[in-house]
Amino acid sequence: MNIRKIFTTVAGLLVLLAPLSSAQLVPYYNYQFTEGVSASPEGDLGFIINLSNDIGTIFKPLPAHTFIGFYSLKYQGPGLKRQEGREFSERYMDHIFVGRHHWNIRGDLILKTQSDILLEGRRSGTNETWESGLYNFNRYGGASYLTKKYSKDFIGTASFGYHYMTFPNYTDMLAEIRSGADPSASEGKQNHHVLNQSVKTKYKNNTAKFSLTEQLYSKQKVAVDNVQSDGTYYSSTKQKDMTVGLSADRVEGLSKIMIINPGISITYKNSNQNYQHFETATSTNPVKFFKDYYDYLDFGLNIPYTLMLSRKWSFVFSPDISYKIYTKRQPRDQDGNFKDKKQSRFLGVYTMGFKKQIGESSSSLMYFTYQNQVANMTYERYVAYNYSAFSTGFKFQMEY
Amino acid sequence: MVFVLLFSSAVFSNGAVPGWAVDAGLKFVQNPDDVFYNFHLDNVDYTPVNSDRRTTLRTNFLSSLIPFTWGNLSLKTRVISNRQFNSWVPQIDIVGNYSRIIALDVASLVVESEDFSPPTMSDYSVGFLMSKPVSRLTRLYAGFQYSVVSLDFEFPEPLEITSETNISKLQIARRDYILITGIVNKVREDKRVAAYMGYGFVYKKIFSRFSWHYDHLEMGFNIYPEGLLVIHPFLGWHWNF
Repeated sequence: MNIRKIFTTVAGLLVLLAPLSSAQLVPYYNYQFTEGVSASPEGDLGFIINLSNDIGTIFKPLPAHTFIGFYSLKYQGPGLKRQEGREFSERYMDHIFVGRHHWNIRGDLILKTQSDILLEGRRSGTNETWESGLYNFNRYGGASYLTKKYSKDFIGTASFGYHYMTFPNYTDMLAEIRSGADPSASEGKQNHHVLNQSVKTKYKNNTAKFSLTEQLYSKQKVAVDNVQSDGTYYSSTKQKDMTVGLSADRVEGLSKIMIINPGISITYKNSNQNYQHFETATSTNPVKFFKDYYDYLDFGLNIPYTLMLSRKWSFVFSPDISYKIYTKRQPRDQDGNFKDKKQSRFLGVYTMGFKKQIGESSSSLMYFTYQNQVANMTYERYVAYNYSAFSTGFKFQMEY
Repeated sequence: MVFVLLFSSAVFSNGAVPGWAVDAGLKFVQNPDDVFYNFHLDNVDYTPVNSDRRTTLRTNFLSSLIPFTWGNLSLKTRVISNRQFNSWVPQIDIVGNYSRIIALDVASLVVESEDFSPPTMSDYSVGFLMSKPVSRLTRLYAGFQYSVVSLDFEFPEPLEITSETNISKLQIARRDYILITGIVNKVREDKRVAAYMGYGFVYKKIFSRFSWHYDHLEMGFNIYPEGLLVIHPFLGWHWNF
C-alpha cells in the first residue's frame, strides 16, 4: 500500500468519524437496598433482603443513533438473620447484560433494538452452591421495539422479542424417584424458547397494552392418561405454553400534590400440558388425569396513589387486588380430595409508605404491607393457600 | 463477636461457651472463612478520594477495633485527576488496606504455655478506584481490589460447642478479586452520602455498603446477604489531606 492510499484511507476515516468528536457519553447508575420483615398471624417472622445495582452508559455518536450498555447485578434472599439448614429460604442472584441501540429513523419513528443475557443463580437448599442450583438458568436473546408518534398525544409501539432459556442443572427428581429414571433423561427438560409480541398505545395520560408470549419447550413432553409404548405417561407432543395479556392504566393528577394511577389487567394462560395425579411421590400408578390443568384467567386491579406532603416527603398508597381462576383445575379439600369446582383465589396486597428525597440522588422509603389471600383450595399440607400476613421494611435508593 | 467469644473462652477461661452462643457458634463453624472475610471487608475503604483532596487515611473502629481489637488502616491517594489529560479521563485513586487483630498479637507475646502456638495472620487489600463526576454534586465510581484474609490459629484446648461439635483450630484462607461500583452524592458542604455494591469473582460473593460521610466521622451499614450477620453497622474515622 503506497503513501497515497494510506493518506486517502486515513482521510476517509477521519471524515467518517468526524461526527464522533461531538459524541455524548452519559453514565447511569442505580442502587437499591431493601430490608423487610413479614409476620404471619401465627407470629412466624420471615426476613427478606433485596439488593440491586445497575450501571450503564448512554453513548450518542450521531444525532439519530444512541447506544446503551447496561449491566445489572441483583440479589434477593433472606435478610437480617441468616437462614440456613431447616430454616433455609430460597435466594437468587442475577447478572444481566444489555446492549441497546436507538435509531431515530424520522422525527416520528424510532426503532429500539436490544440483545441481552441473563445469568441467574438460584439456591433452593443448603446443599446447593451458586453453581449447582437445580433451578439456575441462563437466558439469551433480544427484542425490537418500533415506536410511531402519530401526534403529540398519540404514540404506538409494537415489539417482538425472542429468548432462549436453558436450565443447565435441572433434573426431574420426581421422575427419578418414581421410576428410577436415568438423570440424563431429564436433562434439558426445562429448556425452552420464548417468543414475545406486544402492541402498546399511549393517548395523553392513558396507556393500553396487548401482549402475547409463547413458550416452546425443546424436550418436555405432554402428559397423557394412558401408558405409551415407551412405558411412560408422556406422549411425543412437546409442551407449548401461551400467555395473553391485556392491560390499561391512566395517570390522573387530582391536584398539584395528588396523583392517582389506576390500572386493570387480564391475563390468560394456556398450556397443552396435562397433569397426572399420583397419591404419593413414590407411587408409580396415577390415580387421576387432568387435561389442561395449567390453564387459568387472572384479573387484576391496582390503584396507586401518591400525595406530595412537602418538597422532600411524599406518601404512597397502593391497593392491588387480583382474582385468578383455573379453567379446568379442581380445588382439593383438607384431606386432599378433589372437589367438583374450579380452583380460584382472591389476592389483595395493600401497601402504604412514606418516601423521603435526600439530596439530588438518594431517597428512602418506609413501607407497610398487608397481604390477604382467600382460596377454595384448602389442602395446605405443603403450600398455604389461605393466609394473611403483614410486612414492613425500609428501602434506600441512590440513582443518577 | 462469635470469634471473640470463642477466643476469649478458650484462652482466658475453661473453654465453656454460653448457651445463647451455641447456635451462632454452629453457624460460625460451618463457614468461618466467610465470617472473617466479612469483617475484613468492613475495614476496607471503597469510596474515592474527595476531588479537592489528594489523600485520605481511614480507620474503621466499630465493629472492628471495638470489640474485636481488629486494628486497621486504609490509605487512598489520587494519582490521576479528573480530566487531567483529556476530558474523558476519570479520577484514579490507588487504595490499600492493612489490618491486624491486636488481641492475637498480644496473646502471642503474653501467653507462654507450651500448648499455645502463636497465630499467624495476614489481612490486606490493594487496588484502584476510578471516579467521574456526573453533576456538580454527584460522582459515579468503579474499582477493582485484590483482598486477602488468612489466619492460622490453634486453640490451647479444643473448644466444645455441642457434644458433637468442637473446634481445635482455625485455618482461614480467603483471597478474592472484588469489583466495586458505586455513587457519592454531596448533600451538604460537610456531608456526603455514598452507596456501592461489590462482587467477589472467586466466591461469587455479593456485598454492599451505604454510608454517610462527615468531615471526619463516617457511619453506615455493611450488608452481607449470605453472611452470618447480614447487616454490620459501622463507625469510621478519616483524615483528608
